[in-house]
Amino acid sequence: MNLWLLKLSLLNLKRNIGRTLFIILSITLAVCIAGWVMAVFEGMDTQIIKAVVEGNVGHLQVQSSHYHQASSPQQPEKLDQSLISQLQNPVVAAYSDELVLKGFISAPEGQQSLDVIGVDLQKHYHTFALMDKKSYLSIAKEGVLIGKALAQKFSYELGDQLMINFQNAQGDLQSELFTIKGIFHKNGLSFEKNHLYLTKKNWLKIYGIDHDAQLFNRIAILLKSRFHKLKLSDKFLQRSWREINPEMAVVLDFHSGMIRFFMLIIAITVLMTVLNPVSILWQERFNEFKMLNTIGVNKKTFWRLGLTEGFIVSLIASFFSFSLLSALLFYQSKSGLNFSKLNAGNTIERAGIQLPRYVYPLMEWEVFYAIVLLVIFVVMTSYAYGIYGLIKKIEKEMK
Amino acid sequence: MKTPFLLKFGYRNLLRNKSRTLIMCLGLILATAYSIFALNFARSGSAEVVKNFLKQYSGSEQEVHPEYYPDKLNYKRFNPYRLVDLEEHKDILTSKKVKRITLPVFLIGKKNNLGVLLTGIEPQKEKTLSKVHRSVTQGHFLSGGMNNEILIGQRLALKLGVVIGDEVGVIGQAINGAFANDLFTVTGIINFGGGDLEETLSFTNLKASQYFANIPSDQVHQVVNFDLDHLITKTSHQLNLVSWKKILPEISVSISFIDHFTWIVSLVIVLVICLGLSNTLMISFLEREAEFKTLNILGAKSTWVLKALFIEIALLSFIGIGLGIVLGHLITVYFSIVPINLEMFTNGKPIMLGGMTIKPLVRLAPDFEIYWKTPLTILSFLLVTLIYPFTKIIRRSQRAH
Repeated sequence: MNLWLLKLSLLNLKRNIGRTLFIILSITLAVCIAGWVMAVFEGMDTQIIKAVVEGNVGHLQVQSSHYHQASSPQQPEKLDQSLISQLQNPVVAAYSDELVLKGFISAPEGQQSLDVIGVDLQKHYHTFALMDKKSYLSIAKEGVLIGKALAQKFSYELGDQLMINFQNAQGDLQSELFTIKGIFHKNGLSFEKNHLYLTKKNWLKIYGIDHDAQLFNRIAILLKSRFHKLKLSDKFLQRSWREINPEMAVVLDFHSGMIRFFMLIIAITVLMTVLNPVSILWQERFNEFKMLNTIGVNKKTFWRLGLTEGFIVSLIASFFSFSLLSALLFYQSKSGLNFSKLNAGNTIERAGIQLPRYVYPLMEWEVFYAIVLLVIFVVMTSYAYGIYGLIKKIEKEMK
Repeated sequence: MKTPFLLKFGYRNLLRNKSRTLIMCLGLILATAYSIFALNFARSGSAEVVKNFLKQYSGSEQEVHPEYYPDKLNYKRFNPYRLVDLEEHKDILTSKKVKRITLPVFLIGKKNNLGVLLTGIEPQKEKTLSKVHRSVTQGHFLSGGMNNEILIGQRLALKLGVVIGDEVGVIGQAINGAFANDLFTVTGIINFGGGDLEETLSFTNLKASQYFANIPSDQVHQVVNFDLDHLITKTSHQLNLVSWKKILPEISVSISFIDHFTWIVSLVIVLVICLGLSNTLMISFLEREAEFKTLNILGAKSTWVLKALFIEIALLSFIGIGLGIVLGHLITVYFSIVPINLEMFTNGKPIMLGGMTIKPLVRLAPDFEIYWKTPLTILSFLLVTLIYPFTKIIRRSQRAH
């Protein structure tokens, strides 16, 4: 019986191949456009998150209370064994415990305030990798890493010395001279200008804390996936990248709000587009179904026949959509879409991060399944409307 | 055959299957009404967001020394040694413009010393034009004159460890390159909603900033326009006119991105609806094949049949698009009375732009350009999608002959 239904449905669809193809084409087009827009937004959001996270933020940060309240390096926390064991969680890709003080450079070329960050070189390399490993290790002795934009602003070169002014642990203004051992070029102008790296040992020395224990103001944690969650003990203050960069978090929320609205409109549009042809298609078969009804085929069979046909149309449309969308996304995920064209070819920086020049569309399987389900729902609704209309007409005629 | 007859013919054909015509009409109404509403919303929303943002502090344009912004690709860099001489350019000052001094300085507090931008402003005039004074949540706004008062952001105050009445050390560079330092009293705390600007901006009296950096009283860094309804198009040939779009490209691009996105979505919807409509029309034409043949036998030419069908589509389009325009306009008018809060797109979270929180309530304003462009686009798409069904009718008709 099922095979008979399938065969009959297929034959019915082939009766007017042009119309069937037109319906499938309309659905395919709508799905491809909806899928493409979602993939572009997903790609953009992923790159925005990546840019925020890689800007020495991480997906999550553990912060000492003084650092959280006032970005103050005073009273750092101890990186004890219990915290280390919690950080050795399978979802954690890497982490970097850091000490941070605010310093400034004052020179004839201008002035610049920046974060002077004391890091564990190995851990920081595995978490953020601003340069190659050799350059990281080269700063071990009294040296510092600075960004290219900062070097350009003050005409610094490798081996030059720079003077940093800052407030030490006693609250006094202090000046220190450092040798530039590495110049990194990553994460945009703002990041390059505002970050200076040295070893934790040197940081503690210049700040004026004589301590053997491992201390930190913040621990930047990189998770294996942005969808992973990590819950640490409540005694530590935790902040997600969303809390650290709320402006970009709101941008992402705004994008998802727009996408929801867009999907709703697309679903209504497809419904309006498919409803009529499907309804006509069923009304055309009025005489045939009336005859079938006369020889004993009941309403239930009509419904089963109609819904099988609708399901086949949905599957074919989904297949075409999948093929077309995959080809398009595969190509664009390699070539990328140049979003800098919106700003005369220049990349832009917002909320301290450099927005991506190229956006690579990205689609999660879950999103594709959701689109397919939406298509099936819309097509089935159209078929149900058509069958219902036909049955009503037959009943009226019979009376 | 005369046009009134064709009109009657087309009208009766549309009524043959009322539910089908209704769905086709609804499709057109949806596409037109959505496009008109969405485009009006995008334009009014962008305008409101920009206005809200610029009114806070930025202003719409700056008149500056030609070398004040040395890098024409990056307006974040500025040269504080290049000033506008107001003695030479008295004519550029109007009641809708404010004078400003911007100095990169270091603030020294109890807990920290931090690099910020110290902006010298005219308090009385800023009160009437910008919204900086509304952001002062603790203490009071600047009183003007030579007083060494300073307004700092909430986050900055926390980081420096200072409260109202405390003194902060200010270190910077004077215009002659000398080391400048002075003590300023915190008179007000600014709340920009927790954005980045709370950490990077501070304000003082214009005269105090000029005295601090040894800048003559008739020289300033920027003359900022706050007349958002009348943008400046020309300035003195010895000055540069810089639009906010260049200074804050990230805001401009974000907003134009939303505008482009709305256009794309509207076009997609129109295209899909037109394809569906064309499909339905083709089916309904083919259904009537026998009638067309009869008409041909009775002597009607293919052109007459086409004309009749064309009038039928024109009637349908006229009704659908017409009602769509009316509906789109009614929705626009409704939301011009009841404003849309953009926070509905962010699950109620405040919107941050350029480091400060803004609360734009968008009142839609009908842009009449949209009212003719949208129907024209829909009609164009519809005509293109109808080429195939019409060609098919002609061929069949020719075969019948």
